[in-house]
Amino acid sequence: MSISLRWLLTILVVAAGIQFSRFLPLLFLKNRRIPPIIDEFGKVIPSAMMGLLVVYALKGVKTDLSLFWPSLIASLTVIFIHLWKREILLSIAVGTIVYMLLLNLF
Amino acid sequence: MTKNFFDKDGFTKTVPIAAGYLFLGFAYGLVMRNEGFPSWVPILMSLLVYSGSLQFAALPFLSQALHPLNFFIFSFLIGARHIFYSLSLIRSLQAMGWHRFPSVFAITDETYSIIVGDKDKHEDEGLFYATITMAGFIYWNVGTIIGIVAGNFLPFKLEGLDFTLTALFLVLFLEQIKTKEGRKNGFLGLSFALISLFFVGEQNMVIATMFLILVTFFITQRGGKKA
Repeated sequence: MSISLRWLLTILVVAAGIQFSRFLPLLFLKNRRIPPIIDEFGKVIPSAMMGLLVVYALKGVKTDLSLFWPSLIASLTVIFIHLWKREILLSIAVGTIVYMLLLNLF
Repeated sequence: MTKNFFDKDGFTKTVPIAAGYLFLGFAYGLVMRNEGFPSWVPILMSLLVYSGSLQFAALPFLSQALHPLNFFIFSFLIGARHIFYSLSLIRSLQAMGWHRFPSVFAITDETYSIIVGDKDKHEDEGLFYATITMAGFIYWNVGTIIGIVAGNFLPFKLEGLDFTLTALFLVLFLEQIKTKEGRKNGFLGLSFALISLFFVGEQNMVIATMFLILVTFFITQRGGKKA
């Protein structure tokens, strides 16, 4: 298939995945009672997911070790700046700039 | 039933997230153009997926062969927290008319917080919810378009710009671990993800991690019930 078609289908599948999770409760119209255990699990998910996503974002380092030092230093920069200022956009901007500069050094 | 196009109070409540969504959407559009994708790809992603974390996380998929089931499951799992958002609002959603569709379609972490944090009474709750979610949707998509346009002016590829993804997740993680529960679950997810990455590799780490989280949750729940 052409690359454009592949991209289009990929986007549609990804969209279907998340929209399904968004609409899932609405689709189960009959179930008016939410079992408390589901509610409890819902409290666990956001934090656990973020932990997963951090590892997911950094997984490239496992296969390309030249990214190790830039990733580590830039990540520590993000953490430090964020714990200091708690400004989401600032932390992301500074960390990204540090990373991009370090890529040229290593 | 009001004839208003949007709820003024709802719109006002989204102003704090406008800048963040515009900038992050901008970053997304810019990164995508930087990676060499034609404009329609990020435009469509932002319109149909509308989730910063998933849009960034699914970026590699665009360079791989199409694996519909894997991509669907991955997206569903990354988006799993949205199940609980809609779930917790289910009574309001079921009470409203067609407004439930934009309210659910465009629900995000931040718009959900705004909705549940709202203490005021609204004559038309559906309009209120839909205004909030669609305002976020507009900020994000406008940001994406501006980012794409900016990306058109890049003289060469900026290496490492996609670190914005990693930085975003790190920042969101730090926000999650502010609470004791968040710390516990956050590091649990992180540890399981690391274990999964080294045992089952990159392709399967997400589903393996989710499985471990699920199993751990049910084991600890049963332990709690016996006590």
